[in-house]
Amino acid sequence: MSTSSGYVQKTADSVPGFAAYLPGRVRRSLSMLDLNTLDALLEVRLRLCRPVILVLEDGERLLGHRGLCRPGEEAICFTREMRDEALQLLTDRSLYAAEEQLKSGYLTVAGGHRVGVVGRAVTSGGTVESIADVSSINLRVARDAKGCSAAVLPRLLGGPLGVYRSLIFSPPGCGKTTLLRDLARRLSDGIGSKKPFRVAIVDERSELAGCYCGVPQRDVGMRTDVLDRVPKAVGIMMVIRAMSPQVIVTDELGRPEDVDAVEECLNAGVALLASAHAGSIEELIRRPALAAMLSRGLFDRYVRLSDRPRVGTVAEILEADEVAEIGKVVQLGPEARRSASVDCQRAHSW
Amino acid sequence: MGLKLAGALLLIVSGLILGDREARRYDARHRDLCAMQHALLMLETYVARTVQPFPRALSSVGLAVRGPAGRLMCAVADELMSNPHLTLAQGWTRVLLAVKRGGRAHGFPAYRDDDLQVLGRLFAALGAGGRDDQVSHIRLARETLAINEESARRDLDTYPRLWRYLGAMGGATLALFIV
Repeated sequence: MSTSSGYVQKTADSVPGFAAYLPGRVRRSLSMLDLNTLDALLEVRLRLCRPVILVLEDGERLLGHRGLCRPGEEAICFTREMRDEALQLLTDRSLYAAEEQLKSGYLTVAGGHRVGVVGRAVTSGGTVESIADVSSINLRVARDAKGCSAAVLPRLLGGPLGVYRSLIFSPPGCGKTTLLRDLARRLSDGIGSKKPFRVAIVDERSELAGCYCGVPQRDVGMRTDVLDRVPKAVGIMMVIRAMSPQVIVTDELGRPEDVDAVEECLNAGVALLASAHAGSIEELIRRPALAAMLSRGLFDRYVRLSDRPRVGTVAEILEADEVAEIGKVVQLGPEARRSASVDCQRAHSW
Repeated sequence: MGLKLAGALLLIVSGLILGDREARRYDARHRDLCAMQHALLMLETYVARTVQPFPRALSSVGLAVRGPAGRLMCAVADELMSNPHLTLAQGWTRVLLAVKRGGRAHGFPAYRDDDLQVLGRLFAALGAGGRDDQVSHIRLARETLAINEESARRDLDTYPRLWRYLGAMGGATLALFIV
């Protein structure tokens, strides 16, 4: 049904898939949003006894009873009853069956949407046993950005393994996972006339493939095997032995035990595409585990992403020797560090 | 005279059938309460020992338990599977409404309102609790149904015979009037 604004007005029948996991009142209100708003929707944030907030590409908006909250209109308040309803719907009416997942603070639901859950953590011996009295739920809408790796991929192909060992880094929310997923898909499906690769994803947090009941909810390619919810250090060794992949893709390196696993992977003749949180090479070097990887030369390419001018922008692609040089300068002092960083950005940003 | 005798015979047979039908309801309620307790015991095992979500657990239990109690479980499971936005309590209410509208009356368990209230309370408590919490709710419902079953068993000793007598005597009385 077209409206005067030119948007196609959503009806209850065309409510997006993720809305099925939200309480009835929120679902009904979402069904009144126009297509453009729904397309720009990144997160639905539900906080107990507070208004429902939608995180859109251009900022946050409150959710009213009939779509986005207008000035002077009351926003939907997320009540305890709505919380219980949401928890039922998010866990297929079976919170008990999702207790293991909830310990890690998030769930993956059908469609690959990730749901963060916080509340009162019940701990025993320093480990979280369960989350009780859930106070906030954050539904992150899964969005495919197929083809987002088109600009980067040619720079990552080559070397004896066919794919350079690459580390993608950026601050949170710049599109590392999305880029990794698209790289996995394209390598797995084949690029032009090149032979496709056997890809294995070690998905510690079900973020890359978004597996639900064993089925990847995101398109990760036809030759991709997914090892879901296993610590990276263990998972990398498992997939090497079990699936003999040519390329392993994994997310968020940074723990000390990851170093040995990555080294083992590379010694086994398997290419690795991984990501890490860091705003710059300097920050990367200051993280002990990542610094160890850098000093051992475990990666050939370093891709820095930025959210400016928009999420997923490739800020620079550096080669191992350039990063090693920066590493030396970082140890020299702030002055040398600044000039090296400027030189490097001039030479390689694109 | 022959017609009168035939009519009288028809009345007596009708009375017997009506009385027997009422008597059978007591029998059916007792049987269906036993079956539901069995179903809840299975459901409790699913919840305590597996990570199967309720819709699939209800479906498995429904298929394993024969008769109307199993069909009721299957109906709730179907409702939940085809409507992912429904909570357990909403799914249960929908099935009950469908039954009351007559859509699924055939083969529905011979439960009385107090039996249905026990199940209604159970479905309202399921879904948003931890494993131990859910098991204790199922156990409570099973024990309450066991009390209802005990009362149904006591009724079984008295009322079926009473209804059969009433049916036969009522039919015979009407037949006497005709003759």
